[in-house]
Amino acid sequence: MAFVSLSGVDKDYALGATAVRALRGIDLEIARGEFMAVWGPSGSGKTSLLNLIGLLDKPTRGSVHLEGERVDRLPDARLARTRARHIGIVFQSFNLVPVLDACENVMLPLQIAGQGARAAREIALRRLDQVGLGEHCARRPDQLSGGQRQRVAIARALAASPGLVIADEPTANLDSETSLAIVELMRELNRRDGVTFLFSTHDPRLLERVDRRVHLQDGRIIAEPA
Amino acid sequence: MDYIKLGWRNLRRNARRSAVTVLAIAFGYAAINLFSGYIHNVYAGLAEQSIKGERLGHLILAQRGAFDEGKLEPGKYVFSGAEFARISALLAHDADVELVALKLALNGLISNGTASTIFIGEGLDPVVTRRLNGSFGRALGAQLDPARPAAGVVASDLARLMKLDAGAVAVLLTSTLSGQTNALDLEIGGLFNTGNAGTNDKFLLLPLTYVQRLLDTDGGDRIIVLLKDTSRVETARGRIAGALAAAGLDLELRSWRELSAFYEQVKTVFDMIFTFMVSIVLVVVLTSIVNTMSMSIVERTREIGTLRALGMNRAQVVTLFAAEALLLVAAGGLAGTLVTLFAMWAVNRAELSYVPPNISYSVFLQVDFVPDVMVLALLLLALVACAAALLPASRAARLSIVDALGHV
Repeated sequence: MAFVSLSGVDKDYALGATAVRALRGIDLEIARGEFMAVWGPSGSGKTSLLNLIGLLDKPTRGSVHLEGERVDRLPDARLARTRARHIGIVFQSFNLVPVLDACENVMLPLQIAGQGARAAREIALRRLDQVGLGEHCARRPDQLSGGQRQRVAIARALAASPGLVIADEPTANLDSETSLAIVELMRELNRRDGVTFLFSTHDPRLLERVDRRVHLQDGRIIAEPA
Repeated sequence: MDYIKLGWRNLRRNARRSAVTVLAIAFGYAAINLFSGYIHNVYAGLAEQSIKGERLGHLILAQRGAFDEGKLEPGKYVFSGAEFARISALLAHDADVELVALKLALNGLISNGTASTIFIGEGLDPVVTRRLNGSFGRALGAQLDPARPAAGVVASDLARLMKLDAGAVAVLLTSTLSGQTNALDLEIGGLFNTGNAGTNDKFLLLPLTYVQRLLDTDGGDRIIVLLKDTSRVETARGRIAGALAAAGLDLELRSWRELSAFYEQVKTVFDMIFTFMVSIVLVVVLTSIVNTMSMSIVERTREIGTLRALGMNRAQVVTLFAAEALLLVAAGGLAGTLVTLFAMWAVNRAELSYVPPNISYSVFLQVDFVPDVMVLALLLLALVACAAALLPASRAARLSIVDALGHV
């Protein structure tokens, strides 16, 4: 059974009076432990696709299943719980909470899910260690470099031990050297812990490092090389 | 989830804006506290003035019908000396009762030999009067002298109008209870202030035996019951009414508040002003918090989207902002308490005095410390703060995550 599956998914957006079809007839299955990328030009529907898989948005038509359960019709509270338990998200602009230090940012998903502060801190320290920032626990986001912030964001995405980490252009705001380091880090976490990684990118050098690529154009999957 | 820590850090992030809101809450809260402290002091002063200054006592007993019909047929509603002795003995053992006294009211004309004017007055035992007046007696002026049974004290404005000084002799002309005209000389034992501008130009306080002689009776028309503790009026009233009924006495029993129209009028006006003021403060606090929260939410829409993406549900988002609003109230409450205590100390220490409406002497402007009202006001502000946060926060929580994350 696929970890995530999309079947016949369309996504329309209203842009003023007109409807924009961001995704059309998407059928996609993602197995546990995959390390894959979605690529394509701007406006091809990469972010829309990741939002649907990350349960941040609902399809206009079609269905989304997570571990065999249909999730696109869940009410908000259950959807939030499912997100907290199964999905970690890494943002292009890191989206760390500015008033919290690195450790507290990583603790956030755990505390949102109801974990106590002490246990959450222990896990957060371990995750920060894994991304090489064990010494930077008490630093606020504005005291960290771009690469370090994205590492904190990855540690935060991994905090609740989700089955799937989704990263929307995680290296877009980083220099090329840092970008490669971030992808290598994700690759290592994928190999060592079996976490499924799905990210979107324009960068061909990053695409060379994934196991599977999904090519999007005008909202459709046009090629899926092995 | 540590909402308080997150809320506190976010408030500190916008320190200036938070400080302005906290100050608005603090001054509003202090205004409520100070005004409630002031009217608490006024109410206590007026109660003391009515109970002791005007010698109403806490409870007033009269023959049934006397309160409504007593003026028409005064003779019909008089307690005889024997009746008073029986009632007095009945109440003497009540744990709440301090004093039971017989009173006899009268009115008529007072003459200084060249001019006369109307007067109202009451007769009380001079020793009992001193106990009834308590500390008020000395503060208001001359008191009845047990050694001079034909000497009364005159309200200061009446004395001034009639040019009556201590030692002078006046003549009182009135009707006896049976309707006969009667007159007696009155020695002026001294002057006093009734405390009430409405009576200070016509009031006489006289020895009971003198008034009984003038009205040709051995009784009185009211029995005054002074309690040890003003706060126990209603408890004592129920018990005393029960005891009187059990003894087969069909009497009317009223409390000082029922007979002091002035106290009730002042209380109604002050309560209305207080309600009006609290409403204004609540509106100011509500708009300040709505404004602060709305700005904060607009600035942090992306953060809300991020938190939702990390698994926070709508209720948790609302709780986060409610916690921030409650922190604002807590900080405002703390600052407001400090402002209250300082202003209270300063006002009470300044000993400012003024003459209140319808009162014939000046009083100090004092502010009491009323913890009950302070706690209630703070709870009310907390409730308003939650309501104020709820509106913008639930709007933000309803926003789609994708829209919130795309917010710049």
